[in-house]
Amino acid sequence: MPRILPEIVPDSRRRARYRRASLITVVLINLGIAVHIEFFGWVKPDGMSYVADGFIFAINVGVVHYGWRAHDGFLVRPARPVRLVRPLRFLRRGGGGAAHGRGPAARVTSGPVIAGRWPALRPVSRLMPGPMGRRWLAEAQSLLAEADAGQRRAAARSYLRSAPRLILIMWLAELSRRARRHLR
Amino acid sequence: MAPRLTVQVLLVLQALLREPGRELYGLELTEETGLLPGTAYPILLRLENQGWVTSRWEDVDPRVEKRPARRYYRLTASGALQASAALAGARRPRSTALRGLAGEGGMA
Repeated sequence: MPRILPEIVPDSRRRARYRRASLITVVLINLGIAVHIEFFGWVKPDGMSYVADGFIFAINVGVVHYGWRAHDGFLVRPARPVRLVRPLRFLRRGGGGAAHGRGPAARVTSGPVIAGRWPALRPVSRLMPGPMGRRWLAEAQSLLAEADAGQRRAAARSYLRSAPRLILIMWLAELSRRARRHLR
Repeated sequence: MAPRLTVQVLLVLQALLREPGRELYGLELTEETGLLPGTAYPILLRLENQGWVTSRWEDVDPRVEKRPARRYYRLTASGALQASAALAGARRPRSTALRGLAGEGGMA
């Protein structure tokens, strides 16, 4: 019987980008504070330092609260299926959303991908040639989302176990395809 | 070029041949064959590359269905013919061998 997934958390790409930027900002601010304390010791408290401390504290609380509510898996592994937000732009490949691996036509009309609790699948799919990796990931996520709880772990493990061989086969096929195209 | 006909490949072909026009998605296929998806996927990919099988994404809105789209597989017309031949060929040697063994038993 298909597993009914909870409602997908609605979000826009822009909001996700802002959230990432703010999380990175907070990390950098805190790193700066840690480095300052390490090298120069505690700042002697005065009026301005309390303002700065308050500002930093408010940013920290705000970002943690917002990040926790959004729960996008950036820092916390999602406990339920949520919309996928990729943390780093340079890791992106092609379009996203439910069209992941379904070609450019699907990308225009489809909604967001439903991500499950299989974070290892995504990096593995990136080792495969572009469209093939996207298709493999989309199929794996689709199957795992519908599999019974008992089967899911074994299925995910089998996907991961077969991945190295599949990566090799896919790259060999891709290289031979490229070579043929080059020779023509 | 025909794919290498391992037991797993034959199981996949058998499941797809049960109702040649019917489309099966990954989970159905793994349930019918008893194979793990990590085993079935490369087989389907290979069969598709060789033109025996064709596949398509289900055209649904995941938000409405509350599940991701499925990828459906079915045998092509030529694939169904080749698969039937392959399955028949795979059955024959076993029955021949069994007959041979029975014959040997009878002689003794």
